[in-house]
Formats: sequence, C-alpha cells, structure tokens
Amino acid sequence: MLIRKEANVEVEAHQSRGFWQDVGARFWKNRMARLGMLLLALIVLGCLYGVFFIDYDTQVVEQNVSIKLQTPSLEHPFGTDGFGRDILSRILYGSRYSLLIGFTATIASLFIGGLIGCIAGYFGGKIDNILMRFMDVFIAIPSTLMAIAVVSALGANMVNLIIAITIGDVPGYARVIRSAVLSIKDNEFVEASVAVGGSHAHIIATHIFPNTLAVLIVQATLGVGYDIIAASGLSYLGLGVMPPDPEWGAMLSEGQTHIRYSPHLVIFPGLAIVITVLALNLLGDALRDAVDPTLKD
Amino acid sequence: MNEHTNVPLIQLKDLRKYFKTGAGTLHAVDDVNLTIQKGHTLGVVGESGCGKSTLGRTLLRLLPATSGEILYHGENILNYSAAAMKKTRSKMQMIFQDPYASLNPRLSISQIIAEPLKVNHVFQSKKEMDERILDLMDTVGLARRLANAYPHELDGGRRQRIGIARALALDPEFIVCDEPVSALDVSIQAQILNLMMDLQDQRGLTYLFITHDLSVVRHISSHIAVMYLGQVVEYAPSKELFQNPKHPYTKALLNAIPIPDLAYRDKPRELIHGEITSPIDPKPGCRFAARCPHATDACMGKGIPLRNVGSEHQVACVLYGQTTGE
Repeated sequence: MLIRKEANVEVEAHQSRGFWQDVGARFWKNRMARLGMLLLALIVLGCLYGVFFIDYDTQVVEQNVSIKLQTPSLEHPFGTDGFGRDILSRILYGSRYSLLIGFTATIASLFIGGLIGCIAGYFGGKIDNILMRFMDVFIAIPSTLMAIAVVSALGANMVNLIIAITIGDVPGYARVIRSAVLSIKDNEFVEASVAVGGSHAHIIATHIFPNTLAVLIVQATLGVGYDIIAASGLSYLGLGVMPPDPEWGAMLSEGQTHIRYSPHLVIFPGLAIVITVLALNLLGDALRDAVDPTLKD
Repeated sequence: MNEHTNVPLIQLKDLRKYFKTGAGTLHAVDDVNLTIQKGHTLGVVGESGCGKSTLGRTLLRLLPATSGEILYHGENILNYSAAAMKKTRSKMQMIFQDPYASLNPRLSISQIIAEPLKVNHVFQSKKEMDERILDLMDTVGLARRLANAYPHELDGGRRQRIGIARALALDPEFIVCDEPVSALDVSIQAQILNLMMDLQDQRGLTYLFITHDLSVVRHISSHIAVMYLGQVVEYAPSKELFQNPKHPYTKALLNAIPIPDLAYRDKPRELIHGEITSPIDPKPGCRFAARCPHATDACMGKGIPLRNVGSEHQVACVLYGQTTGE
C-alpha cells in the first residue's frame, strides 16, 4: 500500500515542460515578439472600443461639411475627412473590417488548404497529383485578378471579399501543409503507429496533424497580415467594403483626392494598416523561431 | 525433426519485395526463404542497402509484399483481411532503429506507451491502463517519474527503452528488431541487448534481429542469415556460421572484424573491395560475383539457390564443394 503511494508521488514529481510551454518561454524571451503582442493588444482594444462606444450613424457616416478637411486637433486627433467625418472614429470603427476579413479569410483558407494538403500529402500517388495540379491551376492565376473575377461575379460586399481572398490563399496553404505532412509521414513513429494497428484517421489525428501545427500557426500569423493588405487593396479598388463604411483601404481610396493639401486623410488609415501588419509579422517571425526547437538556447 | 507437429512460428516462402523506380525495378528482397522457431532469435546481417530492413518491414506488412508467402503459425498473413491483420499485429511487433524518429515528439512517455493499448481498446478504464503503463515502464527499466516526460528530455538509451515498452504493450510473440542498438553508445548497446535477452527469457519472445554489427548479432542470435543485395546467401546456427563460414561474402564480412591482437598486425586479410552493385534489375547469377575474388563463369547466367551443406547450414554459392575452398 505504502509502496503504491510512493510510486504515485514519484509520477507527479517529474514536472515536465511540454512542447508548447517551451515555445511560450522562448517566445516571451524575444523582444520583438513582446512588441508585436503589445501592438496587437492595442489594436484589439481599439477595435473593442469601436464596437462598444462608437455610434455608426452619428460618428462614422454623418456628414458635416462645415468642418471638412480639418487638420489634427484636440477635438479631432486625426483630423476630419472630405465630408467632415472624424478620422479617428472611422479608423477605430473600421478596424473590425480589417480584423474580421483578415482572421476569417485566414482561418477558412487554412482549414480548406490544410485539409487538401493533409490528404494530398498523406495518401500521395494519384490523389496527391490530382489535388495538387488543381491547386497549381489556382496558383497560375494572379490573386488580385482572381479576387476581381470572384467579386465581379458575386457582387462587391464583405462576404464575397472574404470568399475571394480565401480562394486566393488556399493553394499556398495546401502546398505548405502538404510538404510538412510529407516530411512527417516518413518518420518511424508513423510506421510504429501502423505496426500497432492504428487507422489512417488515428494516425492523421494523433501523429500527422499535431506535428504540422508549428508550421501552420506561423503561416497563419503571417497570413492574417497579408489578407488585411489584400482586403484593403481590393477595397481601395472599389471591390470590397463599399463607402461610406470606413474600411481602411476604402478610406485610402476616398482620401487620395485630397492627398496634396490634406495628407492626413491617407496617412492615418495607412498607418493603421502598417501597424497591424507589422504587429502580425513580428508575431509570426517570433513564433517561427519559437517553434523551432533547434534554435533552443 | 518433427516438423509436422511443430509448425514454426514464422516461415517465409519465396518472399519478394520489389520497388518500381524510374531506372527500373529495384529488387530489395528477392526470393527469401527463412524459418524462425518459437523462442529463437534469427539475426539478419548485411551491409547497408542489402534489403534487411525492407525484409523486416515486409514481414510485418508495413510494406506490401510483391509475391511469396509469410506464414505465421502456418497461416499466410498476406491473405488476411484488414480486421484479421489488426488482430495479428498485436502479436507481431517492431522495435525501430532510430529512437529519435520513432517517438512522436508531441506525446509524453506514457502517451506513447499507451498508444497500442488505446488503438486496440485493450482496457476499459483509464486506471487499469495507467497501471499497465507503469508496469511496462518497470519491465524495461524506466523510472516511473518519467511517465510525464517528453522524448526530447531523455537520452538515446532511455528512448529505446520506451520503444521496447511500446512493442511489449500488446504482449507480442514475435518482434522484429530493426537495428535497435545501432544508434546508441556502445555502453548503452550492451544494456539494451541484455534487456532484450532477459525479456526473451521471461516471455518466450521470438526475435528477428536486423543489424550490420557482427559482434551484436553473435551476442544475441541463435541463428544467422547473411543477406547480400536482397538475397540470403548463407544461413546457419550462430556458432556454426562464425566457426565455419562457407560463402565468400560471409568470410569477407567475418574477416572485416578487427582483431585486437598485435600478432595479426602483418597478416594479410581477405577483404572485399568496391561498392555494392546496383539492386536495380540485377542480372541473373550470383549477385556477389562482381566483388568476389573466386568468381568464375559458372557464377553467372542462372540464379543460385540455397543448398544444404550440413544440418541447418545453407549456402548459396556454386563454388562451395566444387573447388576446395580454404
């Protein structure tokens, strides 16, 4: 009885640091990672402020031509635009579009691309060939052109914009995850799982997928930034979120007529895009280093 | 011998495993016939690329066989359905070469040992399973406190013990050991080999032991098969093979073992030269002929089967018995 107890105590005595705890520790050591976290936290806070405290009708779209094109002041910290609307309120309110499009498109394309990549990489052979040649067809079409085609076929609104960006992103994720799966599936631990009678589903779920996570998360963090730029670009071209909604790209588009005498109309939405993408890239870079155990110090 | 009442545990009949490559058909395993009796250890030796690992994997159906039969208790497992094979797998396990690649870095030690038990639904309750895992860890000499550790925190010897515990989890009869000690330090090698031999005594295990290390194979095997380019060129009980090698390749292999004695310093050795020839579409005839110091025209042209040259001693060489070797 006593022996059994001691044995149990021994089991708990070994406090092991799991893989993700290791990653967390290495991530936090990186100064750039902390800066990225700080920036992203500010952006998310700003977005939440926009969701709860900014009224769409009075603060975002109501025009007041008597105060148009004002330079930054205490009352309007980022100035006002060509219709006399407060740019700070519009940027804070508009952050939801960028974040929503960025994260939704990334998650959707990661899911679809990940599934295709996993199946192609794991089963190989004909399935792999058919799926990947299909992906090659998509890669051959420039993503902007693809988005223009999708949006003009389905109509310009935010949902279609997300669909367009997702379609453009899927082949990239499929390729990355396929190659990750290819390098994982030849490991002996996969063979060991077959040897004990593991099914395909079991092997993909316990051995293949968890080992692609590292690659996947890095890809995703960088992908969000890329998608935000893509969304802004398409909105700028008039293919995404439509005026008067204050998507950052759409604000750039509206502001460019006044760029000569009132540059703050484009500087502030531009800065918002730059800072968001910068924060996500810093996070992505730091994550990439953190999940690589060979860089362990 | 009473072969009718005593069906061997494992019997391979004309087992072939070919791979199609761009350059032609690669004959990784070619017409291998072997028998392993229960409780014995068959050592398979040969240089890199001779197909010994492929043989082990094909035997467990981790690779599909091209043709031939794999008899387990007299039944051909190549004809088994997926369900029957899953049942049989629990009796035929494998210990892998590389203790770094054979353990999933994302799973803890207890999770790795639990996998075979989970996949085969051996236990209903988690408590029973945890007991079993700790028992297995005791069996292979792993401290219980390591149950929640991760593979990267352990050294090679401990990792290989995990691999052994995983192979033992389902109480197998037969284990294919694919160079289980070649990635380890010499001191650790001895520990692991002794552990494996103890386990064999305790549980009546049967091993197919694949290795390129002759001293290891001598230590652990009851019988030895020497492979060259996918074919078994000599088969004999371990002692007999070391004392009385017949095939020129076996002789050369044994000659390559360094002898730590100054008296042998100036003695010429019969060593093989050159590289192993290509296993892609090999020409008929002895595959060793290209490197064999005794090769003649008789070696080429037709396949050379294993012949009995004594009780339990078989060799595939036309020259043996014909000329008076050494």
